[in-house]
Parts: sequence; C-alpha cells; structure tokens
Amino acid sequence: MFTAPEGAARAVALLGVQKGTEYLFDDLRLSPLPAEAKATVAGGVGQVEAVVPGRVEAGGFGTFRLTYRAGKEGLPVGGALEVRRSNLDPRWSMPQVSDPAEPGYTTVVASTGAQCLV
Amino acid sequence: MPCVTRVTVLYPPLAEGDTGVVTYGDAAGGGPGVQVQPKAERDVRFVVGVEGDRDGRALDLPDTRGFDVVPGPFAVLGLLTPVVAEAGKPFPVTLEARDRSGNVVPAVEGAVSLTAEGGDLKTDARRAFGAGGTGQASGKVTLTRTGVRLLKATCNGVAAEQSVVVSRSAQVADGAKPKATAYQDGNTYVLGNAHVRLLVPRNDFGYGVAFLEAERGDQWKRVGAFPSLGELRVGAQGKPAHRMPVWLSEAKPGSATDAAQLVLSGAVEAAGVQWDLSVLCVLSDGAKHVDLHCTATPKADAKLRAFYAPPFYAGDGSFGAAKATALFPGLEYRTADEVSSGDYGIVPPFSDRQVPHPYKVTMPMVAVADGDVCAAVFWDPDQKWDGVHACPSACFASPERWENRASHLLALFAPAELDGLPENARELPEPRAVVAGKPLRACLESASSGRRLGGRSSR
Repeated sequence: MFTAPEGAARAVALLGVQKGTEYLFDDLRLSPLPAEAKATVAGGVGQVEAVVPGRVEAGGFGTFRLTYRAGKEGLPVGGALEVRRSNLDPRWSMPQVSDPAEPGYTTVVASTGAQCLV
Repeated sequence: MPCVTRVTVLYPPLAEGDTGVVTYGDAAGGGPGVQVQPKAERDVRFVVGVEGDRDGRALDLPDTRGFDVVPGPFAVLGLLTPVVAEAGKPFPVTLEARDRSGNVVPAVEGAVSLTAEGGDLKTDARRAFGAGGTGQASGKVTLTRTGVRLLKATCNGVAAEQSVVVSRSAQVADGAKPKATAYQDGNTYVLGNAHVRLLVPRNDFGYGVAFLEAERGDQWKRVGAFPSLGELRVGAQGKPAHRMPVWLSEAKPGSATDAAQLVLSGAVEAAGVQWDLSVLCVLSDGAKHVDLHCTATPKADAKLRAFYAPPFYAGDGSFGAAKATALFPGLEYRTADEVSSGDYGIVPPFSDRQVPHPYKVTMPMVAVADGDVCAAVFWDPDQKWDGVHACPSACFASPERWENRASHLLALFAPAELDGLPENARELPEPRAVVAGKPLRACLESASSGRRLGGRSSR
C-alpha cells in the first residue's frame, strides 16, 4: 500500500514486470482525496466561479461564464484550463472563436492581458 | 466527461490572483449564445480542470454551480393508446403535454377534449391537465364499433390524433388443449396447445387482428396483439408511405403430425396492384411459440417501400408500456424505467437503435418481459425475403413511443440496410420495384414463456 506524502499533487507508480512473463495487474484502486486535502490541492492551483443561468429551456440558448482565479502555483506559459460538461449530449453548440454572430461563440479574457489559445 | 474546450495560456503566465474568464456562448457580438441540448435534464454542470505542468493531466477544481435544462412551452399533445382494442371493453388512454423536443411539460393547465368519429366513445379519462401536475392525464376509453377508429384530442388549441384497431372480442372457452389444435370457436379461430394460443377473431374487415395468450396457472393471460397479419407500405418518394394492413378473408384450420396449423389467405390492393397474401401459422404440441410464415405475391409489377411480417405489440391489452426487462441482443438490455434507444451511456445519434443494421444483431431475437410472462420474436437471419436477399430488418421499440403506443413493438420487415434502407428507417425512402408473380416471404416465431429474461423461471 502506498500513501502519497502530504501536499503531493500527484504520484506515479512504476510497476515492474519480468520480460516474457504475462502479468495481470488487478485491484488497483486510488482512494479519493479527503475533502480538506482536495481543498488544499485545489487552493494551490486556483478556484473557479461559474455564472450560469438557473435554468435554460431545452433546445434554447444560454451564456455560461466561468471565471478562473489562479492559486499559489499560478498558471505558467503552456498551462491550460479544460472545460468539461457533466453529460455526454453532443447536441450542444460546438464552441467556436471565428464568428461572434453564430451559436457557440466563445471568448477568453485574462486579467493580465495574456494571449490564450482556444 | 466530454471536453467542451481547452484554453492554453501563451504569454504572459498567470500569477496568484490573476483571472481568466471563459465565456461560452458570448452574446456580446450579437450572437445567440450556446444552443443547449433538446432533452430536459436536471443539474447539468461545467467542470474546470487545471493543467499547470503540461503533462496532459488536469486537476479538477471543485464543482461549479449546476443548472437545469427545462422543458419548453407546451406545443405537442401526445395521445398514447394500445394498438388494438376490443369492442365494448375499456382500454387505457394517456394524454401527455410535450414541448417541441418531446419533453413532458408538467406545468400545463387546460381542459382536454377527447372524441372519436362515430360518436360511440365513452370515457372516464380525466378531462384536464391540472396545476402542479405531471403533464399527463389518463383514464379509460370504450369504443363499441369495430374497424380502424380515429381518436382526436385537443388541449389549449393543440390537437392530437391516434388510430386504434377495434376488433370483436375473442371469446373462447378457457380450457387448454393438451396437444396442438386448430379449431373455430364462435367467431374466433384458435391455434393452441397446453402452453400458448393464438386467437384470430373474424371482423367486418376480415381476419387480421390476433391475440397471443400464454397459459398461467389454469388461466390464459394476454401477452400481446397483432393489429394485422402484415403490412405493405407503398407510395411515392418524398412522402410518408401509405400503410396497407394485411387483413384477409379466408381462414382454414388444419393439422399435421405433432402440430396444428391455421392458414389465413386473401388479397389486398395496394397502389393499384392486387397482392395475393397468405399467412401460415404453425404450432407444435409442446411449443411455446407460434411459427408465422407470410407470403405476398403481386399480380402485376409493383413498387414497394416495405413489407412487414405480422407486427407484434407485446403488452398490448396486457401489461401495456410497463416492463421488467427488454432485450435486443448485441444492442440493448433495458430494465423497468429505461426506454429503448435511450441515451444511457451512448450519445445521439448512436443511441437510436430501433432498426439497426442486421449485422449488429448478435442473436436474431427481440424480447420483453413483465411479471410472469416473456414475449419474444425470433427469426432466421438467413431467410431470403425476395428469394435473393437475406437478413431482414428487425424493429425494436420498447415502448413504441415513436408512434405513441402504450405497448412494445417487436417487428420484422424487408428490406434491410444491406438493400438500401437507411439505418433506423422503417421504410425505403423511394419505392423498390417488385416483379409480378415473384413472392416476398418473411418468417418469424412469436413466443411466450414463463421464464423471465435473465432470471429464474417463474413456473
């Protein structure tokens, strides 16, 4: 059993095998972080606030604003934010940055004026 | 969880306290925003992951506030009925207020009117959608005249229509026959043995409606119904096909070694062409299934959009749209509250599996079980429906919500995707030529047993 040191953001387990022998790695489990540890880790990389409508009509239109505030570690050049949605439905507008008049138009504005790639 | 977008910081980096605002559906430039899914869903959320060290693995930040995708305004009235009703016997009707995307709209108020051409409708159905309700109103309806009857409903200016085949009741003696037997009892032909029986009542429109029943503890229990002995779909390209139900004029019982049979035959006119049709129903002594062999032969060159073997509606006149389990091998295993072709773990359009490519079906069967009965349809995928092409199409709709039926459709038809049918279509988009005198054939087994799907035998 391996327990990561306090404050570690991630751990890498190296599993060694003998050449020519088949192994089955079974029952590999990662325990979820306790809430306080999760908050500590998240606090290091930042926090996010969502401004979303309370309800949107099915098939209708909405605007969803997600504000990321960098934590102690900041976000370096080449670092990224991944925005995901909780369901799999593909019938949402695809995000696009080319035409402000079309559905799915997405903008990114950094307080530092940083250039971002969407 | 699917990635909506990924934002990479180029220069300068963000230090502690700096912000980045991602606006998905920014309408400041005159755009409409983001179009959301057509399906209502509670508590949809966005999750933001941060990848600080460019290793491709993001650390998720605590969940953001969720929001609801709610039904739109009431625009469509659904009128759900069985496909077959018996004259003089009440049958269930449900009215459903829906938005344009098919979501049920609970907050609808208004009086509902329900009528039938001919004026013989009696109903105790609730006549209004109430405040704070479920968006559904239901009750019982009775029609006394046989034939294809059209029910009409309106609420707040929104109208709905639904046809129901009203048949004479199949009133026959209750006793089970120890061996397979075909006989006439009053106005009904019976093909039965100790386990299962097929009842085919004579109507003004001929023989076509049939009921499948299973023996359960010295009583016969309805498993489902056939509204017709098949269907020819004809008509020009670009329009929905005209559907000609196969109702036949002659019935002849017979017997063979260890089996009994019922032959139904007659002619149907479709798009100006006469078709000779026959349906051979065979039941063996110990069998729990009836073999149905359908043959349709045009007397002149014809054009056809689809040829259906007798479509079986499991639960019709019995357990209705309810079920414990439903199975389409290789494609779907559904439990009580799940509908077929639902988007459980699979996204549209791939979730639509009502008429899949025949090669996706791993075992040629469709089945629905509820309580102590299981209804199934089996077929031979190698059968050549026009003498040349094999692999007919199977249709699985549990329940048959595409046509607002309160039962489950298990059907077999030709042609298939191998022959130009678009996947999930129930008829060819353009008619196909059929040569005079060349028969089309479709064979299936309609079965019922006390064995639950995936469970222990109930008897």
